[in-house]
Amino acid sequence: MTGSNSNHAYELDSVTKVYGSGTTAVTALEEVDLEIASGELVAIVGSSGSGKSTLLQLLGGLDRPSAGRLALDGLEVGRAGDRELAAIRLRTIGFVFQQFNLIPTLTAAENVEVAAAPLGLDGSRLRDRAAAMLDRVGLADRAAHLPAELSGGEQQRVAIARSLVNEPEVLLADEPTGNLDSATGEQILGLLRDLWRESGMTIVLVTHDPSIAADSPRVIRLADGRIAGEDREPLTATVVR
Amino acid sequence: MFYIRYLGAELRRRKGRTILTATCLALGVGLVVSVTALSAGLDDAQSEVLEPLTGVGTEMSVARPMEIEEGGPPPDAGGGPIGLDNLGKAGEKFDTYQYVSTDTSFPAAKRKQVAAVDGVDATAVGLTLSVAHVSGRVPEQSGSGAAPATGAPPTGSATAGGPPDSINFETTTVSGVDTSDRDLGLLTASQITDGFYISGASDAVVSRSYATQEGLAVGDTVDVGGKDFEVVGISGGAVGGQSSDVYVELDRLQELADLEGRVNAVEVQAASADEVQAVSDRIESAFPGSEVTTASDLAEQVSGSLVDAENLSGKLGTALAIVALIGAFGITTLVTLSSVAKRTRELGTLKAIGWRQWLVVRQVAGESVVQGLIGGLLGVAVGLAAAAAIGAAGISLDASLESASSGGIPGPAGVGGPPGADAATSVASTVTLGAPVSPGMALLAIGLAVLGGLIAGVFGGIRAARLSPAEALRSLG
Ligand SMILES: Nc1ncnc2c1ncn2[C@@H]1O[C@H](COP(=O)(O)OP(=O)(O)OP(=O)(O)O)[C@@H](O)[C@H]1O
Ligand SMILES: [Mg+2]
Repeated sequence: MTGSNSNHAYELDSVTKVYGSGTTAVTALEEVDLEIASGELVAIVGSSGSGKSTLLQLLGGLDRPSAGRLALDGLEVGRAGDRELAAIRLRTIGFVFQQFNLIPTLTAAENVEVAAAPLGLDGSRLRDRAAAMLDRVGLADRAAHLPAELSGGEQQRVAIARSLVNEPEVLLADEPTGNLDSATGEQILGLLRDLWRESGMTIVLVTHDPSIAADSPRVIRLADGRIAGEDREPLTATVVR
Repeated sequence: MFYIRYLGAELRRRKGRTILTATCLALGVGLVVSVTALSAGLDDAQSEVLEPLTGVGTEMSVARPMEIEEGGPPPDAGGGPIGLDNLGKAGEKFDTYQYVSTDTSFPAAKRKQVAAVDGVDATAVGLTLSVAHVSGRVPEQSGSGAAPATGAPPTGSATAGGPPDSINFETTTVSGVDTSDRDLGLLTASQITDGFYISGASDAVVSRSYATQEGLAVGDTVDVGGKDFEVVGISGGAVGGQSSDVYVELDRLQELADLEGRVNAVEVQAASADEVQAVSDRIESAFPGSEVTTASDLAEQVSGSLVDAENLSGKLGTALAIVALIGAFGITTLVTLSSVAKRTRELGTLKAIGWRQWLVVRQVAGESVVQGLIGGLLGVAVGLAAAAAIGAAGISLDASLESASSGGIPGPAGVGGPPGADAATSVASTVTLGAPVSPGMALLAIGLAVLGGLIAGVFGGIRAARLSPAEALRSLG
């Protein structure tokens, strides 16, 4: 890898993402240059279709750029194989989705275990870890409930516990409050901020909500697949720990 | 293990899908078990029925069927055409025996020719004749209704209204047995179920059916061609389709029928079962005019409800089972594919949170295989129940073999044959149908259901493998 700054979790260099080909080709991201330092909390905003989710997918190793270079901890995602990307997603990245994406047939505890299962831990260690995570998000008493038996906020807490169970370096959240009422959304954001302060994780969250963006130390605005602007509170990223 | 808990949760909490696929596979496989059990039951029934009818696989029988082209009366028919005119003047008493066979007799020395054929292990000669015993009083030839009308069955005969009461007509099939070899020939020692084998000139063995019909037992006397023989034994089976009523020494029958030194059958034991057909062909070419009947030839001639049932189970049953199995596999695969489609986001999420491709595919395929296993176990239960029902129904099947070589005698001209006169020329056997399910069959059924699950799992797995981890972020679904 090129001698990258070890403080940088992400380095994006002219990253372009094109979906489809020929006349139906859609350019979702165009020549995006971006650096995200390790331990930063970044909010990505922009109108619908501006490319926020696309950017998050690339950051999460769910997809590869069509052109340009995207490095995570110095490793170039575009050149990694499927297995390598899966391993990165398993150990380095945690995902939180707008629709929670819990497995409907598994209990809250099992939904947390599901993320750690590929590590090959033995049963009791796996259970202990999941229980500790549920406890951390305040849902220890709901461990045996199925997702359908939980409220939206509770489901998102389970999803956050799942994203944290492997102690990732990066947490990626795509509109984590989009399916919640504003009070619940506030609680979830509060939880994410607490986690960020405690752990020093890098968090990138996509949001529509201007108030969330206003509370974030760094805000990146996307428009038509390009970075249209950036607001930064210069001190926060480095000082808050 | 987590993956197994997950699998169990999927099967338990998506009951509809689990029940649907398991039931489909259970019905398909249950039908296969039922059909296979039925066909095994029919096979058992067939061997139970056929062995006494056709004999041991290496045995065959050489005969010379009468050639129709020669015309005229069969050379062996001792007394010429049977007509009441020949018996004497009207009102005179008569008592006569006629010896008839549809097989041409040949010198017993021909046996050497057969014995010399390659692959022939042992031979025995025999003579089987229908002995017709006609006795009574010669009726008036006026053609008027002299006989009492009662009980006279109408016949096609223009000259007589039916057999007059004064005439007795009895047909008995008699075999002259080469007693030097008790293991081969028209009567073998193993066929004796009561008493002993023939050991003297006045000894006779009677078949069980004849003994029952005539009320004979060991120690009684039986009349053959006007001579008394002592019943020394009862024969059970009817090997080779030869089902004579009475067996006596060959010499004695030859003497009675005026056929000294002549026989009409050579029983052959082939050296090996694989060679039966080749030996049969060689004998037919070495011995012009001869016809060899093997056990498998006889098996082909067997008729009756057993054969119909076998044909039905063989064709319809197999077709039905295959269709049901393909249907079950198809439905299982479609249900699995639709389930994968419904779970796009769930499976995409697994990939997004770091499950490798293989883990996701294995999970999807594993669910299908376990459903197959459940379906297989249920299917075996269904099959066992169906088999038990077949057994409980107590269906009886019969098989009969028209005896080609023993001489059936047609009703003599001018005399209507008594009912049942030709009953002795066919051998019949009845068995109760069972449907045994062997452990191997049950395992095969479970294996088939698991295979069905595996096929569905492969298709479902391929579809799951194609899913992008980015599916997890799609807002719809
Ligand atoms: N898989 C895909 N195939 C084709 N086009 C796609 C695909 N995913 C996204 N796009 C297109 O790329 C563009 C950016 O989409 P993206 O989902 O990143 O927007 P977004 O900013 O997340 O929007 P929203 O706020 O509605 O979620 C859109 O025009 C979209 O139609
Ligand atoms: Mg989006």
